[in-house]
Amino acid sequence: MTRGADRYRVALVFGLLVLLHFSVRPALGNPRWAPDFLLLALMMFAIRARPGHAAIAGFIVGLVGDAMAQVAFGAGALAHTVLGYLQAWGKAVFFPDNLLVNAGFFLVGAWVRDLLVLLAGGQTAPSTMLWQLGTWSLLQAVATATVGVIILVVFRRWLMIGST
Amino acid sequence: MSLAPEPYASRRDTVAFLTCLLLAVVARAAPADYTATVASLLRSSILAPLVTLQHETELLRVRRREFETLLAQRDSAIAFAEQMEPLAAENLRLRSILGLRQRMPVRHVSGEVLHHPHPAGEITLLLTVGANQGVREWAPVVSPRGLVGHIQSVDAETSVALAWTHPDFRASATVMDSIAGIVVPRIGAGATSFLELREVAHRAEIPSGTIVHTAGLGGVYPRGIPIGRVRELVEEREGWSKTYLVEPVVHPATVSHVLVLLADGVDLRRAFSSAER
Repeated sequence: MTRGADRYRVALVFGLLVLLHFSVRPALGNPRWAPDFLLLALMMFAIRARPGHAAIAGFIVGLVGDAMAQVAFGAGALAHTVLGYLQAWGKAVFFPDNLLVNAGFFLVGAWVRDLLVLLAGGQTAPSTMLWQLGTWSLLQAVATATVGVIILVVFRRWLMIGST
Repeated sequence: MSLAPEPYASRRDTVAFLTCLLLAVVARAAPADYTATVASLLRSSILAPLVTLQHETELLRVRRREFETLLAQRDSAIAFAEQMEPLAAENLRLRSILGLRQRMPVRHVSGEVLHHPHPAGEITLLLTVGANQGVREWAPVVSPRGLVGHIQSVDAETSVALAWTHPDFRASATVMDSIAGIVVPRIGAGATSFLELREVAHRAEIPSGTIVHTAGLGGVYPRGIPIGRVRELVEEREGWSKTYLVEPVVHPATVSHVLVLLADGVDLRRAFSSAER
C-alpha cells in the first residue's frame, strides 16, 4: 500500500464521518447524547496530524459548530482549537496506534470539548454546567467513543490501528 | 519556542495554534450582531450543502413518522371493524398531533428543527424557515403542545430561535384568566427542565396541575399559548408575592418541528385547547 493511497483512504473515512454527522446523526434520536461524528473526525485527524494542522482543523470544525448552533459564537472554535492541538500533542505521550488508547482519547476529548465550550461560552450557571457535564456530556462522550471504536475496528487497516 | 516537544511540534505549529486561538477569542469577543452576520453568511454559503443535507434527513425522519402514523391509521381502520372505542382514541390522538395547524387562527409557517451537538444547544434552535418564508425577528415559535420561544435572527432560508431555556427568556403569563405573573427559566440543578412563575399576587392560590398561558402583554407572545403546568409553590414573600415551579409543556431538545407565527395581537387559547387535555 503506498503512502498516497493511505492518505486518500484516511481522507475518505473523514469525509464519511462528516457525511454521517449531517445525514445519520439527526435520525439517531435525542441530540443531547447522539454521537458527534464531526468531533470524532477531528480527533482522528488530530492523532495523525501535526499539532499546527490539528489546531487549524479544530478551528474550522469549531467554527462550523458555532455557525450552526449560534449559542456563543467563537466558544466552539476556541474549544476545538485547543482540543485539536492537545490531542496532536498527546501522541508524544501515548501510543496512538492502540485501540484502547484511541477510545480513551475520544471519551476524554468529547467531554473536555464540552467543558471548554461551556467555560468559553459563559452563558450557563455553575449548577447547570455541572448537570450538563455530569449527565449529557458524559453520555455523549461515551456514545462518541463507542462509535469511534467501531469506526477504528471497521477501518483498522486504512487507519493503521493495532489489534490491542 | 515550541509548546510541544520535538518532533511533534515545531515553531510553525505553535504559531498556527496561537493564530487560531487568537481568531477564536476575537470571534467570541465580537459583538453579537457581527457574529450573527458571520454565522448567517457561513450557513448560506459554505455550509449551505450541509444544512440542506441535514434538512433532508429531518424531512426523511418526519416522512417516516408520517408513514408510521399512516400505518397506525390503517390499523385503526381495521380495529374499527372489531371495536369502536380504540378508533375514537386513535382519532383523538391524530387530531391533536395534526390539527394545530388547521386550528391556528393566525398566519404562520411550519419548519423543522435542525439539532446540532452543543452542550448548550437547547438554548437556541436552528429552524429550516427564514425570511423567504416571511419569518421575522421576535416572531413567536410554538409546537403543537405549547410555547417554544421566539425568533432571534433570520437568514434567507433558515432562522435561529431563542428557546425558553435561555437565561434571558421572559414571558408575561396568566393562570385561569385571572392571575398574572412573569415566567422565567429556573436556574439551578437541571435548570433547563423547569420554569418559575414569579410575581404572583400573594392572595392568589394556584392548584398544582393548572396550565400557565402567555398573557399577550409585552408585544412578543400572543395571548393563550400554553407554557407549562404549575407544580408547586417554591417561594412566598409574606404579604407581597409568590413564586411557583412550572413544568414546561414543551422541551426544546425534543422538538422536531415547529410553527412560527407571523401576526400579532391574536388570542390562541382555542387553538391549543385540545393539546391541553
